[in-house]
Amino acid sequence: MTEKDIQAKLKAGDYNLAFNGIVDNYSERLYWHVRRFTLSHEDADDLVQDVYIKIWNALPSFRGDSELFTWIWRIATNAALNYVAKAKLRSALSLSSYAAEADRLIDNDPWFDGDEAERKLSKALARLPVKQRTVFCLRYYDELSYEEISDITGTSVGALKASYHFAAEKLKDYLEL
Amino acid sequence: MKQNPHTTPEAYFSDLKTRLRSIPEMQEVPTGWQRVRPHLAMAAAFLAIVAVGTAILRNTAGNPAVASPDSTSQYELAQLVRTSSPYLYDEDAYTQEEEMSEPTEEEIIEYLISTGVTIENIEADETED
Repeated sequence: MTEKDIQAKLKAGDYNLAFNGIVDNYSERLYWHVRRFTLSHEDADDLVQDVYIKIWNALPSFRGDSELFTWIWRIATNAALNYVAKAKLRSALSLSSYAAEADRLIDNDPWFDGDEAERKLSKALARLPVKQRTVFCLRYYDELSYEEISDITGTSVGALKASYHFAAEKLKDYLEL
Repeated sequence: MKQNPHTTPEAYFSDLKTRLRSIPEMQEVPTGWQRVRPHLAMAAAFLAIVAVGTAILRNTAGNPAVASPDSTSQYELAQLVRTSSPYLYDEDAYTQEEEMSEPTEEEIIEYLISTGVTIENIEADETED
């Protein structure tokens, strides 16, 4: 089902079919998007379900002002950022650092299949400020245009380019490239 | 898409899709009435508070026992209120004061002496005039 088909179902009020289309089209890609923020498969699985519950509840209010993909990614990105904020708070309350907790999750992740360089890149990403991390993930991994990222995050294209540049520089420094 | 260093359990995504498709059955789409109900409840509570407040104000404003306390005499009320004017609540005092004549020269001199002015000072002032 294409995005146009889903939008047509939504306009017709056929929310169940539209929702199934969203599940088929986006669930896998959306899982990988939130996985880069949760750093663990179990948390990503929970978060994807939360995101889809939010999508289902908000479907009747989708007016089609923005692209459906952008709307879905906005919900998912906000949920992922809330998750990171809570994780940082948990780390602070346990007198630990979020970076140390991220290192622990990455090192003990049974579903991590990368080499040492990729492990180091994952750790470096977790150390980026959350805004730079978001822009970098959306641009580098999801391969979205700056205009699409701007629609998702509500940030200007110029500011996004600056954030991406700073993120790339910090990653190079961390990876000693 | 870039190379992904993460993996998932086998057949995870087909299982995920099945679970996600069951969300509509578990989540009821809120109807128009369900969405409006909390707002209506808040509006009703606000109106109730306004109605009770208005009723209390009307009862107290129309009650002479509250508006002008008969039990308290005007004198007692004047004692309670801090004021430099004795005429505020005692109209007789005002009338008596008005009727009083101007102080005599003797009364002025007595008053000046009581405040520490000497006779010599008074006489000196009179000579200057």
